[in-house]
Amino acid sequence: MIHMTTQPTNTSKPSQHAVQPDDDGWITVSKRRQRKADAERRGRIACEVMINNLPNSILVHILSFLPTTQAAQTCVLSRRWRYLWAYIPTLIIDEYSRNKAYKMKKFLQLCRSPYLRNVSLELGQSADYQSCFKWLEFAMKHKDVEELSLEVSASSWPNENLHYSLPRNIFSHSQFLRVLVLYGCKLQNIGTVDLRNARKLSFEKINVVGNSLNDLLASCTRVEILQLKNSDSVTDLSANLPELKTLILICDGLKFVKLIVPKMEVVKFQAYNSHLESFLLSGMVDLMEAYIDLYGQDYQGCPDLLQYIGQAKQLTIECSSLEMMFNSSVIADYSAIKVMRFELKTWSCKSNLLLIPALLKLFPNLEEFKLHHHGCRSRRGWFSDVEAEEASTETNYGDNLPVDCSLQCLKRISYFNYSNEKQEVQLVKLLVQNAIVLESISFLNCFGDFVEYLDFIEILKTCKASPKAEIIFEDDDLRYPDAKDFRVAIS
Amino acid sequence: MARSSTENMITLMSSDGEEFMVTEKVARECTTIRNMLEDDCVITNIPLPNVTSDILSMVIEYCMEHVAAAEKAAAETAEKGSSSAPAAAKANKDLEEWDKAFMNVDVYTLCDLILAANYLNVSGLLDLTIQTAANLIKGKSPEQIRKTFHIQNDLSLEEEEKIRSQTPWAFEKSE
Repeated sequence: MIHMTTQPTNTSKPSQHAVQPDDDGWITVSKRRQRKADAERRGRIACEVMINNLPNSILVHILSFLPTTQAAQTCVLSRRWRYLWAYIPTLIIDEYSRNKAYKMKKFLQLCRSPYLRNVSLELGQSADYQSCFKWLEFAMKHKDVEELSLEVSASSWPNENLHYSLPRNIFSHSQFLRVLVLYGCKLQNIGTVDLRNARKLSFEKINVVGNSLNDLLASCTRVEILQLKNSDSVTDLSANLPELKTLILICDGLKFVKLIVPKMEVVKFQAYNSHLESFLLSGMVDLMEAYIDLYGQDYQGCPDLLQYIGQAKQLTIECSSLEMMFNSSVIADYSAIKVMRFELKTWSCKSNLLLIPALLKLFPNLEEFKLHHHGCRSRRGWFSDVEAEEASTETNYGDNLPVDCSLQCLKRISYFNYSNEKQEVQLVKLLVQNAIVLESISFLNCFGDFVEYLDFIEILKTCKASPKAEIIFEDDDLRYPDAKDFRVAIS
Repeated sequence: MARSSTENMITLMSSDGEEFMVTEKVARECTTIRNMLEDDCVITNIPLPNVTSDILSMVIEYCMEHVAAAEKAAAETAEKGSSSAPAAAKANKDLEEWDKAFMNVDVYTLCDLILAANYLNVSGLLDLTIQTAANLIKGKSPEQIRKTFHIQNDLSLEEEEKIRSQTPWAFEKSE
């Protein structure tokens, strides 16, 4: 190991570069440029001026982003660094460190910061949970913790019974907690909860026993973001969250949802093969965006859900078939929706495209329609030839389509994954003919050669369309000299 | 630099006497300057004896980029009546990319930027530079950190050994 001789640093500095720290620890260096220019000549010394310029508060701030053990290792860098680490306001234990509980104990015993900005624990398989939770409890009760992220490795239990329960009353003194992230823990008998200042809650793969999640949410009166993901043990979610702005629910087990959320702006809901029975969201007046993904739903709770979502200004729906939109016993009012993105996750070309004009009829004030068509890639071999044949010989519905499909407000259409199939041509033609104020129709990620599209463009040009309308191909892959950002005026 | 003539221009003077004309909006990104402007609204010339011209120009570049991004986002929201999430996400990503490229500097410049951001109180730039410095330290042994930041070790071999033995929990090998 290279060992530098011990000598006071200021004697080693050239006098013309003397630094003058003022009260704030700010240091004036007269000619930084010159110093840089001949930095090589002075080598280490000039460099050392550089790092020593930073006041302690900044060095501590830098250390606070490091895993706690590594921050503590900086005690051997030099005299100045000897005790800096003890002032860091964060406790970060990553998955790979050994003796986690012992490290937590040592840090908490030596830590001089009265508060902890961030406690982040990744407890892997080998962790001693009992002790780790004991020290976590100590931290929660004796330091003002502002952000807690607790991750229990999902592979650490062979079956659900071994989920690690959070200690009872762990949140009883958490009035300073703003962010709470739990991954893979068990909530049971949560005891007293004080999360009055929590702004963001994020729970993933948690195992909820009884009503403990709702009990916890009851004290979170100021939460703005709530995320609940992949926690299939949650069947019943009910809370009054007056400040909530963003709700993300990705849970397959949900049956009953009842939330009072007057300030909600964005909702994302995804449930595959779930058995939603009731879905109540009360008091939403500011809903801006809704994203719902109902792949494989049995639609029981859908009437409720769609009714609430109908108040959004923007709507994204992903589903396997369009029928679900019409299966509702109550037809929701979608008149507020201006922008809709529709994702068809389907492996069949049949029926879905046919229903789009009828779907658009439900949205009288729609201005922008974005269609993402996943599937139906017969030419690329996604389907067998038989299926492709079947698809293309599907009823020629050109004349049977409803002509009055209520597109009075539609200005922009974008079509993702367009492949110039017969049905698609007919659909686009119909849209262009009916959208009387259309400004543009864009095709993104088209398939095939541009030459194949020339006929299609000719068809569109003959459509009776708004005089302003134009066709745009925003596609780099389309093999045609001027295909990039290709624009054609219709009419 | 495109600007409307109606905007107030402020002159910032670096420690080596170079003058930088910026819009008031850009200057207000620095909380220190904003406080000066709020205390005395007729001020147009601000000497910054603690910041050299090369570092000041970088700070201004950062502030201008972030002001422009915020203005663009506000204009889009006003135009469409509502913000569109994918567009906002893309704009954020672009700005992050820009920040990342902006942080491609040597450690001298990085430390100078930290000091300048701290003095001028540009919170975004301070967070960015401090995070960058932390990333430079992350995963390195003490010897590597000394090398990266050119820290002179003023501890004797015996002293260092003693400190290590006093904090064994920090120095055990990771799995």
